[in-house]
Order: sequence, then structure tokens, then C-alpha cells
Amino acid sequence: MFENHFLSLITFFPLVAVVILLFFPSKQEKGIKIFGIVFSLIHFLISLKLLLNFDYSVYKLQFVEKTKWIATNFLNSSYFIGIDGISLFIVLLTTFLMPIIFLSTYSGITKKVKSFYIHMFLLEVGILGSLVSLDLFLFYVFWEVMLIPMYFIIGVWGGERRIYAAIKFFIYTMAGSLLMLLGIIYIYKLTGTFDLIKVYSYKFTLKEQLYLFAAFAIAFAIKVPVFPFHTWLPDAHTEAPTAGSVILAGVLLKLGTYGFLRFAMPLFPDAMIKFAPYIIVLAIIGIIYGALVAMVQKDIKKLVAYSSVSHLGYVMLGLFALTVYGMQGGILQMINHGISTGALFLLVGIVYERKHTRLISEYGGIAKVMPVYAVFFMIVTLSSIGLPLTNGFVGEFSILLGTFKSSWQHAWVYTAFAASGVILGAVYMLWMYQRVFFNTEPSEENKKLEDLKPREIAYLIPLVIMIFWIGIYPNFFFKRMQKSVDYYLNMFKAKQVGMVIDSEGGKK
Amino acid sequence: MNISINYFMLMPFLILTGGVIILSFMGVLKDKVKNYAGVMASLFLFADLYYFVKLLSQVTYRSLDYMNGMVYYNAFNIYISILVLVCGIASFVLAEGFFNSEEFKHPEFYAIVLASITGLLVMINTNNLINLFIGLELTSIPLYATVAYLRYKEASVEGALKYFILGSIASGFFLFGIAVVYGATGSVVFKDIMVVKKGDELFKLGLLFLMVGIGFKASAAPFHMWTPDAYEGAPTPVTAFMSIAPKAVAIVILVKVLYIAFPDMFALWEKGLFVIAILTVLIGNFGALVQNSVKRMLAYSSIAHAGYLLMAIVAFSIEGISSILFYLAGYLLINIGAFGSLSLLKIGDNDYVEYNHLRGIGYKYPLFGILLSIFMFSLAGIPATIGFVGKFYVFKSLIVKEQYVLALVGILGSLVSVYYYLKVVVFMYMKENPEEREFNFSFLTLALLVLCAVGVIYFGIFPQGINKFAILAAKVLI
Repeated sequence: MFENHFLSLITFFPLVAVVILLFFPSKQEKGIKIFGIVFSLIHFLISLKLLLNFDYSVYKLQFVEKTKWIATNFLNSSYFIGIDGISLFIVLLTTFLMPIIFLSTYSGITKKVKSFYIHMFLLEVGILGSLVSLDLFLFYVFWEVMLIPMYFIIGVWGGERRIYAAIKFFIYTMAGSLLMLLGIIYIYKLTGTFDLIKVYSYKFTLKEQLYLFAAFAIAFAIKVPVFPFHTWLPDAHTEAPTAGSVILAGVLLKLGTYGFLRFAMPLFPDAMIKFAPYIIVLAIIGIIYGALVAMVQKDIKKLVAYSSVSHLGYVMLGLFALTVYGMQGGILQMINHGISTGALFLLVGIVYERKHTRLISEYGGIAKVMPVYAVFFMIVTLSSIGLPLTNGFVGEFSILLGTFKSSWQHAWVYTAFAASGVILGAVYMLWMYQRVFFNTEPSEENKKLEDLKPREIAYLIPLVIMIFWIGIYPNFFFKRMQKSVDYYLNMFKAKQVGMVIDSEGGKK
Repeated sequence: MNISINYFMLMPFLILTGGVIILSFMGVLKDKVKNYAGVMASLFLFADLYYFVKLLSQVTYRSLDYMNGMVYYNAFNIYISILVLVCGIASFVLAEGFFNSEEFKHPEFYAIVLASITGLLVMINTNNLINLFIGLELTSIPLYATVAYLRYKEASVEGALKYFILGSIASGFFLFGIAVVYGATGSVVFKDIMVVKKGDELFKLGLLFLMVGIGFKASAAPFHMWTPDAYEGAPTPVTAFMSIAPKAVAIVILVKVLYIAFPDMFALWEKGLFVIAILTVLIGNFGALVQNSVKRMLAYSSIAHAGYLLMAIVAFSIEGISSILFYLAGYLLINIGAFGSLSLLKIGDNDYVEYNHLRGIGYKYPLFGILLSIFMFSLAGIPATIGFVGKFYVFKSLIVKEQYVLALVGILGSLVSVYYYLKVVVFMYMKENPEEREFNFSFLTLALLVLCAVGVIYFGIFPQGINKFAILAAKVLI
């Protein structure tokens, strides 16, 4: 019976967990934790079917479901979901990260375990829902619903300044979303439909596009976050519990870039061309600024948080290069960032659990005490820097290549500045690594630190595998997003009035 | 002249008037009987509800007129009447929970509120300005009394006095407006006023006075001064009632007066309402931002919600009206829930609730925490709740009519509101060290709140059910 509703099944599967959890006695913390791990693992395994059955030879929306949802005179919205090569991997990334996160929180979360798991599963529904919706109204509902569990996760299980961080997160995101809501209503006024596919084919005038693009772009730019809108991120990341940071960095931020790719850019191509140079400049500022600020952080987690600003800058750059390489690199980099930064947050969480501090100065020389940990940290660090053979290299390289080849004026200047971010990235990551793991003899206190437990190794291994898999054989991923990227680039081209896009943009 | 009385048309008023009389006399009976005062009062409301639901299926697209608009039923009026009656029943349930623990019973309380509801029904189901005024007074005077119901409390008396004085001035304005309009047109019936050509300055004056009078009742800024004090002073179930029914009716009356009697003066009243709506949204939201008392915060938030509704009136379209009607239905569910939750938090007859009193309460009373969170998120307009759909309709009606400034101010208001609604949730779940306060939750109230919460979410996801009626009612009006 689920053949035709497979995507719905994937999206709402976590709700089943929520219902089951509600009937769990909250004293049974161990049972809840194991249930969470097993359930999310099953969810991941089922979701692999999306990958297996995904037809990447042509571009088409797959696993599509469409039924009437709200049908009244003034509001017509349908339950319209489906995935293509762009959303496929982010959906899988979400389901992939969940069991890892749950495994990591096995010891991390000690209070109100049951409600934590419920919130995590609800959050997953929100994320998956907004990734698969192809109806603007439906998308908005999921997009906002996602905020509530995340708000609770930061606010209840977070660090010292959690309330401030939670409210800041909520209000920032909400400010953007409300503007987007006005945009969505305006689109509905013009087109009379929320159906994304139909809206794609509608021709907005340039003036309409400018306003609408601005409304959407601000909402997504806050989520990404693009440079001047990033201030909520370090707070939210630092205060959130490890699990929250991982899901925030791993998936939530991707929804911003995904939103650009799925909504803001294809819907308003003319406005996009007008705004693109500014966004590219902001992205590059983000790359360099994020790296510089990360360099001077005393707190490891804050460092990782700022590195996110830098990495997401690359993604934005790649998307707005409007070339095949750039866009593919951008999409891949979304996944890379989810894996590498997710892994970094997990690793930081591991020492935090042992020592209850994240200050770099409190560590030093712990490579001797925790050799296995040091190895994992090294691999992830290298992947975050973008060393060849790791995933980061593939993503950053194709983004830079794509930017260089793009037909923007002074594309090489953009590339040069963006490339300097790679170097800065190496500086702050390696410097941090040096200060934490080498430099001095470990202090007496740090000598007592315990190396990785089997459970911790167990959840780091899949991430390391992914790092190398993408690094060595990225074609597996490129192949599956190829047609979708082509399709979107062609669409920009087709709708374009003034031709700016690279002649190569259409086909490879 | 021989006038035969049409009892069928007068039935709802007769039922409630009967109720008022019977309940007033219940006070002299034995305590055992007095216990059933709330049930009795609700029964009268249910009887009325039955009458209106029956009537709705009969009149769908038609209307029933009695004595040239004195009593006038159509789908629009019936829709609002049903809302008011449901609100009345719900606040009786809250009142049962609220007064229950006290030593003496209050049949007269129900009698007073019933009288007020009768007044509201008179106001709704008429097309005649004089009748409207009678209804207005019949509503207001019992409300002044209910605000001061806990008469030994200073805050209640202060609130009631403020409400009484300002309310009386407002009534005066309203009556003066009627007089002027009558002087200019020679009629007090909406339909007659509509057809008169209005070139005279006198009309503008009359319209202005009418709008000021109704603005007071709808707590539109700058006539909102009485609202926070009266809402805070009143016993919480009364506040729940006051924040919904009279306000809904005031908004609807404004719609009727403007749309039916003065549609040709749109250019004039649009400007006035435009300013009033913006002021109301801003004052409501920013006022709520700085409150310590949760009840006062909700009072200011109800001003803000009135602002959104006024915005929708400016839209001047069927869509705008249907959005108002939908919003009101949603607002009914949410506000009964929100004030109902507050009414549970009382010790003895002290129903003053500060944010600080909510510390950690979400863990101590999980069900209560979830319910209040749902209502807060819904008030803030988060999707998958009815509050979101209501706001969506309002903003959409504005954008369709190209009222972008209003839509932006509305969005700004909602953004500000997120902060203070979330503050409730923050205190319930994120602040440690709960105050040692024990509460006895009334089962009846909790059941009602659960029902409201289910409604809030169900209609938030599937709004068609209500929306269908709202559109039907809106179409009938124009």
C-alpha cells in the first residue's frame, strides 16, 4: 500500500516514533534512547530505497504525490510532494545523520530524555517535509513548524545562554519567513496557484521579480546564513546541545541554500541575475570573514560555528556561479558540510562530555592521551580544509572551478578571493588542531581523559566512510544530480531575458 | 393599526430573557439547586444555539426581515450569533471551574452574563441603528458589573470604573452619531441610509461619531485605554468572554455599518481606518511587549488582534470579510484556551499571574504546559494552527487589494508578538526553580481546553470546515 505513498511514508515516519514515545514511561531512559537509535536506523534503511529507485537518466520529479488539501474559494493548496536530484541527497543526509546523532546523545542528554527524542523526531518531520514539498503553502507550513522543536532543543537542553540563543534564533528566522510569506501570498495573487511547477512557468515582470526575490532571498539568507544575517548562528550553535548543533549545521542550514536553489533562483531568474553579483560578494565576504573570526575563537565549538559561515559561503558562491560545475559543487558541498561539520560538532561534543569545557586553552597535548580520537579529528579536519581525497576537496574544487569558468565579469577576482578562504581555512583548523592535540605535554587533569569508546567509534566510522567515499568517487553523487542541475540551468536560460549565463551552462 | 407579534422571529431573545429572569430568582433557592446555575444558563444558550443552527440551514442565501430591519436574520448574522453563543457556553464552563472552589454559588453571575449575551444577539441581528444602540447598552451595562464582580478587589473596581466611564462616553458618541445620521437621512435603517446621496458634511460627522463609538467597544487604538485595566481587573472567565464576544460583535457591527450603510463613503472611512488599524496593531503589540502580568499581556495582544481585523475591513472585499469571520472563529478557540489556561492558575480568588509564576510549570503540569504552548504558538501565528490560517487570510486579503503598507505593518506586528508569546513558553519550560505554587485544576476546564487545542490544530491543518461557512456568510453580506 505504500508503493504510491513512499515519500509520504519517509516524511512522516518519525511521527510514528513520536506517537510510540508518548506512551513510553519517561523513567525508561535507556529504553527510549535505544528505541530512538533503532527507529532512526530503520528509517534510514527504508529511505535508502529512494536512492535505489531513483532514476537519474532523465530529469523528472520522482515519488510524486499530489492530492487536494485545502480547497476553498480564496485558498487552494494541494499536498504535492516529490524529489529530484537536488533534494534527494539532502533528504538522505537527514535520515543518515539521525541515527548518528541519537547514538551520540546516548550519554550527552541526561534530563528530560523523552521530550528530547520527541522534539528531535518532530524536527525531522519538519525538515523532510520542507525538502519534499512542491507546493509553496505546504512548504511554508513545514518550514515554520521546523522552528518550534529546534527552539525547544536549544532552549531547554542548551548551555548557559540558551534562552537568549533560542529566542534570537526564532525571531531571526521568523523575520525572514514572514517576509517570505508575504512573497508567497503575492505570488498566489499573481498566479492563482501555490503549485511550484505551475509557478515556474509563470512569467513575472522584472519589478515583481525584484521584490519577490528580495523577500525570498532574505528569508533564505538568514537561514544559510549569508554574511550580514549570520549573527544568530554562533549563538545558536554554541548554546545548542551537541545533537542540536549537528542537526542545525548538518541539515537546517542547508534548507537555506536549498531554498535559494529551489525557489528564489528559478522563480525569479531576472532578479537573480540582478542581485547575483551582490550575493556573490556577500558570499565571499562570508568566506573570508567567517574564516578570520574562526581563527581568533577561544571556544572550539564557536570556531566550528564560524567555519560554517565560511563553508556556506562556498555553497552560495557555487550556486550563483550559474555553471554546471559551480552548481554541482555547491550541492555536493552542502552534503560535505553536513558530514564534516556534523562530525566536528560530534567530536567537540565528545571532549565536552568528558571535561565540560570547550576552551582551546584548557586542552593541549591530548593526542598522547586520546590517540584514536586524534586520528578521527585529523581526518575530519582535513576534510573540512578540503584536502584531496576527502570530500571537502571535491566540493571546493568544483565550486572554484565553476566560479572561474562562469561568465560573470571579473570571475577570476571572485575565484581568487574565494580561494584565499581555502588557505585561511587550513590556518584556523590546523592551528586549532595543533593547540588542542600537540603543543604541550598534557596537563595532569587532561591525562585522565578517556579515549573513544566503541559506541563513539561506531558513529564516527560512517561519517569517515562518507568523507572518503565522496572524496574518492564523487561521480556517484554528481551523476545523480547531473540532470537536475542541467534542468535548472536550462530553465534559467530559457526564462532569461538578457543572456548572461555561460554558454556552457546548459549542457556539459 | 394591528401589529401581530411574530414569536418565531423573537424566539432567541425571548429564550435568553427568560433565562435572565429565572436565574436571577435562583439566588433565593437552596444551595443544592444553586449548584446547577451554570448548567441552567448553558441550557438556555444551547437552546438558542439550536435555534440558530436550524435557522442557518433554512435561510442559507435568503434573509428573514421583521419590522423593517428591527430583527434581521441572514447567514452572516447567524454565523456571528453562533460564535457568540459558543463563546458564552465556553466561558460558563470556565466560570464553573473558576468559582467552583468558593463557598457561595453565583446564579446571579450567570444572569448578568446572559443579559449581556442577549444584548450582543440584539446588536448582531438587526439592521436598525436604534436597535443597535439598545443592544449595545444591554451588552455593556452587565459587563461593567461583571468586571467588578469580585467587588472587594481594588483592581477589579478600578477596571470596572474605567470601563464604565469610558464606555458611557463611547455610548454617548454612538448615540450622537445616530442622531446626526438620522438628521441627515431621516432614517435609522441601514438600507435606507445606503440609498441616500451623501454630500452633506453632516454625514461625515455622523459617520465619525459612529466609528468612534464602535472603536471604543472594539478596543481600537487610540480608544483602547480601558482595555488592559478592565481585562486585568475582571475575573478571568469574564475576561475570556469580554475579549472575544463583544469585540467580535463590535468589529462585525463596524463592518455592517461601513459596508451596508456607508459603502459610498469608502474613500473617507478607508483613510481613517487605515490609521486606526496601524495604530492598533503597533500599540497592541508593543504594549504587550513590556508587561509583567500575563493577563495584561493577553489584554494588549487582544488589542493587536483587533488591529489585524480592522486591517481586513480596509480591504473592503468579500475575501476580507470572510477572513474576518474565519479569524474570529479561530480567535474564539485560541483565546478561550489562553484565558482558560490562566483561569486555572489561581489560588483562592487571586488570579493574578506573572511570568515568574509560570517558572517550570510545564514540567510540573505537563498537560497544562502543552496546552498553553499550543495556544501561544497559535496566537503568534505559527503554521499548523488556526492562528496562522487566520492571519494568512487577512494578509492575503490585504495583498490582493494591494494594501502593502498594512500587510507590512501586520507582519511587523506578528514578528514582535512572537517575542512575548514565546516568553510564556520560555518561562514554562526553560527557567528553572519553579515557584512552589500548588493548583487544583478543574477537570471541566481542562476538558474544554483540550477540546480547544484539538480544534486549534485540526482547523489549522484542515480549515475548510469553518472557511466554507465564513465565505457563505461573507457573500450574503454584500
